[in-house]
Amino acid sequence: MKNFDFIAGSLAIDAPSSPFILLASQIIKEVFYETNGYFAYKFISISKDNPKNIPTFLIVSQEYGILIVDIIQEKVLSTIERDEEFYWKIGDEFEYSRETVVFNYEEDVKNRLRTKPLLFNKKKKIFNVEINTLLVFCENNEYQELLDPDLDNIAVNFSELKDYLEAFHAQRSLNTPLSDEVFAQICSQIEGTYIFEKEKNINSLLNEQSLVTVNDFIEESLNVTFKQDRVQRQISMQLPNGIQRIRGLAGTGKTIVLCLKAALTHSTYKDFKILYLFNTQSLYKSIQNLITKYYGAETGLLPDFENKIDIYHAWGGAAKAGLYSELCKSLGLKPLSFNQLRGSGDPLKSLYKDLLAKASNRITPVYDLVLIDEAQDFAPEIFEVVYKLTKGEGDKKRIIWAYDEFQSLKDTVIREPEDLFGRNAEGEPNILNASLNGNYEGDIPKDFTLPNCYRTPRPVLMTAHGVAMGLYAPQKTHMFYEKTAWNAIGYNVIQPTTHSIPEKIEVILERPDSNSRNTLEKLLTDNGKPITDLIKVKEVNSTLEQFDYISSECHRLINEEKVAPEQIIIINLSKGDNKHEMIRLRNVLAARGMNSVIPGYVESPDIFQPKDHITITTPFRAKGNESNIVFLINSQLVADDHTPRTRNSFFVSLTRSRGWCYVVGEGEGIKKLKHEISGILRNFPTFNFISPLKSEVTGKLDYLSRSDSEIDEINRIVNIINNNPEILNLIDENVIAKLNLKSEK
Amino acid sequence: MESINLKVIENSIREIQDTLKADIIGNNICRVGDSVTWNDYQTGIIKNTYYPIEYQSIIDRKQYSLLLSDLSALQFYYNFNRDGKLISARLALYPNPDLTLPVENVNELQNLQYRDLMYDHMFSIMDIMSDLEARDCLFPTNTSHIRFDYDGDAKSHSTSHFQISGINDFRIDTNFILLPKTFLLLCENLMDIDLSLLINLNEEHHFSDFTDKNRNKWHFRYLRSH
Repeated sequence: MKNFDFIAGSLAIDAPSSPFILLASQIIKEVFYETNGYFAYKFISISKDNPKNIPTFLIVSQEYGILIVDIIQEKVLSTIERDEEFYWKIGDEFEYSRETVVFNYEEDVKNRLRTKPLLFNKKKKIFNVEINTLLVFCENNEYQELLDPDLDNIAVNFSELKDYLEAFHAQRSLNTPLSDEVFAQICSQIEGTYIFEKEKNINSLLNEQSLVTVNDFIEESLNVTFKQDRVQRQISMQLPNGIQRIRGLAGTGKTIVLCLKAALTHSTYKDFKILYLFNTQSLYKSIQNLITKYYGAETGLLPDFENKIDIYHAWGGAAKAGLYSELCKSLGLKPLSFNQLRGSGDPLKSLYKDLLAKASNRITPVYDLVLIDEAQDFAPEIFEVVYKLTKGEGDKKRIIWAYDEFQSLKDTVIREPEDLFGRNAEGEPNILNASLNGNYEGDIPKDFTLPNCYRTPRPVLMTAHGVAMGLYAPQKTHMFYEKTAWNAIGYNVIQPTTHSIPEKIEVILERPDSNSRNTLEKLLTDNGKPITDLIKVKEVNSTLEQFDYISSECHRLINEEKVAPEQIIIINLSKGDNKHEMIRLRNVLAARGMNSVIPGYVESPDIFQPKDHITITTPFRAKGNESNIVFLINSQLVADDHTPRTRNSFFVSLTRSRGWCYVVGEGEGIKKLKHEISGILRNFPTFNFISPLKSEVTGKLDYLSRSDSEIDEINRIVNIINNNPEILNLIDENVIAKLNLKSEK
Repeated sequence: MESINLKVIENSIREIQDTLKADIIGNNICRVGDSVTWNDYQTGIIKNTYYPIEYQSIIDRKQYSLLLSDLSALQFYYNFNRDGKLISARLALYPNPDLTLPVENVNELQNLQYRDLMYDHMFSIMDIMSDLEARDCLFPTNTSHIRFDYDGDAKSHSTSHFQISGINDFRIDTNFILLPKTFLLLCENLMDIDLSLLINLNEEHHFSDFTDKNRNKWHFRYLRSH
């Protein structure tokens, strides 16, 4: 399938003053629509220069290689030469000639490509990909006299652009396109995402031996070029001029997308103040590393974390800056402490509620861009504070939030903008739901979905989904009755064929291979191993037996399968006081000579997966992290618990894995769960179940979008009504249906 | 002091490891050349720092020989020269700061755990100092590590002594060097670990002339065995 995408970059912001550029982007799109690749506006990623010195468009395609196009919108009045350098007079000022700008950029592109043998033949000193440039004058007809005769640049007038591009297209239409491999490498080099490639193991590349140990398979699956898919690329390389929502399943690259946006914005708009807000303490370092790595590779500088980019946990404290603690500091408030929050169902929500009550009017806009990761964990009060902190008006505030409703460990789902961002003095929502309708420049939807999962192999992801939704459980936890909702999380609805899915009919869903980009599944199949091996369910009789099994399996993985200890995460699903249990497990591991950490309980919360250590943790703390091997302990607790909270924590835990999963548990519960999981795997890669009655689903979306206290209130009313059935006669039929009174006891 | 050698130290450590097997949750003990030390040994003591911060830094940087299930961290360091003579030694116990509010009661705050409480404590301690009315804060019950140092070349102070980090320049001089096991027994009251199995009265001559068990644990007199 051919796709020619537009990567809008900062065009949404520049558009009003760039009529020719908007027209040119239309022309490029029209002429090249049948090619495979993309064109980008002011693609800063390549260059260390400031945005003014970036050519207007970079076109990268499988058919034509690379074409750099610069649109000169203003009239060039004259040209002078000093020290072999040409300068142009535009308006009253002299600036570098655009020829110089294009030349420098072309050199930067070449330098990027030169490092890869696939793209540059070092012996013959030639590129295996065509690189062209084009200058387009909008206000000069006699442009030839402006050009440096020594440079041999191709130039046209804007009126000739379409004809030129059509001829360019026709000349090359019979050429053999670049191979997928070469094209992937070009994209990775151009976009700078090669820095995200996991470190390649040179020995495993040179070693042609077959894959034996678990580690062999892991290493091999990591030896892939990190190339963003087109969807990821479009979203991360674009800076919207207003709000944007990104929905993405576990492992679809939400954090990378947000970090790229932060780094690119920081390099494009040096003056912008950026806030990156997140909820899982252990993510702090990886967010900082991703931004630093990308920004560093692009600019050769360190990001300005002192003054321009704030990476904040929503809470914060003396040891680490967080949004709440910093706001308290700047507003002169005494932060609430844990003791004052005891008994609060959502302490974070209470903190921000208190903050709004005390200082709502004193919060002033300071940020030009706010990126919110793990938005499903944040209460509306936090969004309201962010709204007040962001510059701009209404939905023109650059607030971008990424979420996955399956990773919500509270019994709530993500709300719509009207419920999130608070209300103005007149009681109207600050941001309307409709603000998320439509697209930004470059056809980037304001409400965006990332469909491809990079981390989790398909059998693991489907098990996670299947259990989270309870598709094979006696009671369903989540259910989508719309086809589009299934598509959004990467499934095709085979049956029924109607748009909506009625209750009590047979449903067949399929997860196409193309939505899972982890190569492990293919590697295993190619080596004659069943992919269902990726999930092992282990039944034992006691907690100690769980620990013994895990410790002997970890020992085997580390010593025989050559897995690095830091690539093992053990997640405890039990609730309440699980500290002693985890310390006990740590002792059992230590007795076999394996060291481990328990972030947040023993070590600090951000000490996650240190080298040579196994990590023992909880679903909440594991969020946002990944590893090759994941153990779940106390999995028996999932079997009879159909609440979204518990089922989602199973989902979060399992999807941390980019390889193998062990579901360990004791007693009757684990037998039931095993039955559920084998049902899921038996039908792989399809789900086959009877759609439940809406009233049977525990995690009703309507119900879920309310807070705990509202739910309590509803339950209280429901109880009153159930005890006094005569009240029903006084209530509207619709309300009765909505509250599902008949199914309540 | 002539009697201390690498083998004696290693035996003492082995005995601790074997006896406390059920309580060890982290073990970094290693031997580098003629030193008994811990993996990734970093020199220097964190000075002039609030104890919970000092403690957490020891834990996070894994600067301990053993970590026990009550979260006490122990350091055992002995450096011998090629002739088998002890050059320097350092034994330390970093007790769990143990906030006054028991962790169990805080689980109603779902997802907030022990170390978060610690952060909160560190955060609000600044307020406490300026605002003594505030009582909504957690306090650590332990505020210091305890250590035993030996430095054969020391000039400014005695070559071997106990020191308590919480009190500057307070040293208890000794005329002996402790074995790991003896140090551990000395610190027994500071830990929530059962050390009774470590006490072997037949073997421990220096305990044998005491009859009262409590006094046995806390004495600073070293009796040479005859």
